[in-house]
Order: sequence, then C-alpha cells, then structure tokens
Amino acid sequence: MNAPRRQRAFVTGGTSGIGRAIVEHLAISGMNVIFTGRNQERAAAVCSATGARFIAADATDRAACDAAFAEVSALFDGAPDLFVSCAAIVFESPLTDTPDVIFREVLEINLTSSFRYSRACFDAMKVLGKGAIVHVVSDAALVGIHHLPAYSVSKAGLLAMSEALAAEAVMHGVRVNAICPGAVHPGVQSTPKGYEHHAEDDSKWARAPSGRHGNGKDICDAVLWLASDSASHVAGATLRIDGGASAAMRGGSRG
Amino acid sequence: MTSSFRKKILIIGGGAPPGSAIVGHLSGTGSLVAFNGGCQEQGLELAKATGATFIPGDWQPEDGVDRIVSDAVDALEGLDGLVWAGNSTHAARISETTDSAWDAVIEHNLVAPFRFAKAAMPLLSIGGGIVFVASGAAARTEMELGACSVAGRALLWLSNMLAVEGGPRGIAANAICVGEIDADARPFIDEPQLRDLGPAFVPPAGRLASPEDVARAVEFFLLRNNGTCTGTSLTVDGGLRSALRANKVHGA
Repeated sequence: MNAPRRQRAFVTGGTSGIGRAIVEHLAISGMNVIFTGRNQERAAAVCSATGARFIAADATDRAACDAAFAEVSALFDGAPDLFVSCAAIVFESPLTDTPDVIFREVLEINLTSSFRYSRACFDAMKVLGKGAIVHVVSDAALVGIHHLPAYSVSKAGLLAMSEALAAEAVMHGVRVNAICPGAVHPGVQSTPKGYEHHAEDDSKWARAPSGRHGNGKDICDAVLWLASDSASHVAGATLRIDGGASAAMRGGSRG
Repeated sequence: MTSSFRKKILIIGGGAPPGSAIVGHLSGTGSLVAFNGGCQEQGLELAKATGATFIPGDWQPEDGVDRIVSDAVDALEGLDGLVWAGNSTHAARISETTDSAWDAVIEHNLVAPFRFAKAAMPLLSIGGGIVFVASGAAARTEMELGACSVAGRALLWLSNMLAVEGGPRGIAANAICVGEIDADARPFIDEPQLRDLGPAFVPPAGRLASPEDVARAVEFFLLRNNGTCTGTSLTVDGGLRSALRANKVHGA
C-alpha cells in the first residue's frame, strides 16, 4: 500500500516571526511546505532547518506574487491543501504623521497581497472541492492598538476579507478562517524601514494575562486544528490567541 | 445667531445621497456648510438650494485633498467638522473581485477618507469632530460586497484610531454604518457589477432608512455631542443587521 500523500501547505511571510514558526511546525507535522518571503539569507536558514522550499516574492510586488503562486501550483501539481497568509509589516506612528505612501504600503502587504493570494488559492482549491485557508490576522483587528493605527486598520480589513471569502468558499468545500494572535515570540518583525524585531521588544509589550507571550507552537497548533478534519464545520471563525490580552479592559498587555 | 456660534462643516461626497441630504440638513440647522462632490452643475444647484458653499475639485491627484480642505477652510473661515460621505459600491464576491476593482474600492472607500481626515485633523477647532459615513457591510460583512466590506471594516478602525489621536484636543471621530437607503443615486465603482443585489431587504423597521435619517445621525455626532461620544459607530439600517435573518420579519 502506498504511503498517504503528504499534505501540502503554502505559507507567505515564512522567513521570520510567526510565519517562520508556522513553516517549522507544519514541517514537523509532516507537511510538504513552500513559503515566500523577501530575505534569501533568512530563508536559507529556514529551509535547512525544516526541509521546506522557499520562493522569493516581496509582497509589495504583484508580479512576483503571481509568479510565486504559479510556481507553487506547478510544484504541488495543483492547489495546496492549506494556505496560511502571514506576511505583514507594522508601522508605528499616529495616522496624522503617516505618509500616504506608507499607508498604502501597509495596506498592500497586510491586506491586498493576502487578498490576491487568497483569491488564487481559492480558485485552485475549489476545483478540488476542498482546502483550508487560514489568515493570520491580529488581535488589533478585534480592538485596535493605538500606537499602530495603520497596522490596525489593515488588519481590520483583513479580518473582514477572511469573513467575506469564508461565506462564499465554504459552498465549494473550502474553509476559510482567521486567527488573531497577540504579542508572540517570535512575532512580526518587519516595518517599512526593514527588519526591526518589532514585536519582540518587551518594553512595548507586557506579558498577557496568561503570564507569558504567545509562542510559535501556540499559533501553529491552532492552524493545524483549523486545517484538520476536526474543524470540518468551522468556517469564517475568528480565533483569538493572545492569552486573554484583548478579551477585557485591564486584561493585561493591551491595557 | 452670530457666525461665531455657527459650526463650520465640510462635507465630502455631497454630490449624491446621503451626502447631499447631509448638506441640506446641516445647512438647515444654521451651520456653515461647504461641500465637495459631484459635477459642477449639480454642485452649484445644491449650493443654490441649500445656501452651502460648493468646493469644486477632484480629490484623486496628490494635492487634491489638501486643496479641497484648504479651500473649504478659507470659505468657512475655520473648520469644526468633517463629514466623509464618499462611499462607493462594488457588487462582487471576493473571488470575483478584479485587481482594478479592489484597488478602486480601497482607494475610494479607505485611502480617500484617510487622506481627508489627515488633512483636516490639524485644522479642526478644539471640540471639533469627524464623521465617516460607512457602509452597513462594514459592521456586518456582506458576501456580495466583498471589497466594500473590507474597506468598510477598515474605515471603522480608521475612525476608532482617529478618536484616540483626536481625544486630547477634544476632537471626536465616529462612524455611521448605513444600510441600503431609499435613494436611487448610489455611486458605483466604475467596473462591471458582477452581482445583482436585487431589491433591497425590508428591515424590521418596515422601511429603508432615508438619506435624511443618515443626516440626523451626522447632526447628532457633530452638533449634539460634547466629545465623549467618540470612537463609536452607529448603524442606521432599520434593524437589518441586528439579527440573522432579520430581513424575514416582513416576509421573504
């Protein structure tokens, strides 16, 4: 008897932060993983640690994203079983000091690139009548983070995109769900200026009411569950994974 | 009433309902109103009918927003309120939404209000306010209005974040989530509409909200609010989004 086919996963933003952790944990779980990102050096480290395959594609470059998805389709000979949308940047500034070009860049990476990859993945998955999409959103989409307004706005839009797509996709056997992590180690590290380890700055982020930060396994366990048959009736869900930080006022790190 | 007590309000998207009703209603309260939106002929007609000042100009060029806001501030001799009512519709599911339609919806319904708010914030008087007229799909996602749901939700967050930034200067920022209104001239994004939304759902209240209903909500936020009501959204849809299947109250 042939061994069961390995599940195929496609992850954006897999060279660092939560995306990297997801690539690692999906690979450990036995999945065949392809991930995108910008940085070859960081990507090489992820590849050698996990056996996953890297495709360079900057999320602001639509042609590169389209080419990356075409390559994913060719390598997987069709749709992935699981798409995890993770690429994102943060920008820390009041809206009144946020240049238009930066506002648009935050939207392009955090929202539009996810929309475009999700649209492509859903198109491919619905041919097969199955598939799972998980959008890594943020608890900033549940209640905005006041010093990250452009980021919060983009993530609120991403959550609505996940919901709207979930409604139509589930009719084709494709389940779309959103997870909303709070502060995570490793967390989002990219800003318009580059790579700044943003979310790992403990002077910015206190521990959650749970007594600790989130970690990569916390996030990936949720992704694996949402991708599994155990979640076969779960579509359009929003899963808060932040140790209770955003659940109530004075609940902890989010104040 | 002396002019110093008359609130000076700029309305963006005044060329079509509900924006045009907001122009008329706020002018009727004694406020000094300037508005942008619609063609020259429509603008001058509305100005004549309401006593408001028409500020012509296209917001899309790089300096367009700043010019409209500064022309309005010149005309009004100050600014106490900004109303953004420039929402456009595009009827398509997420999977059907083309790049150009998506970009247009994001630009019209999210980036434009961001730019107007950013231009107006430093010019607003202490105790002033911003009101965004958003789609009902912002509050509750609509499958057939994919990109509009996305831009709408993001607009609510924009409003919330501006409430935080404006708070120390007493500037309130609020949003109104409008369901289908009883008016014909809904502005559409210039792309083929892929979904026919059909006749409007009759909400539990038994009738669609009118542009005037929306205008009264704007009046509340700008003229009857001491600044503590900020970072909120008010849904004006006759109860349609208050429960699943609320459209069944009055039959199919």
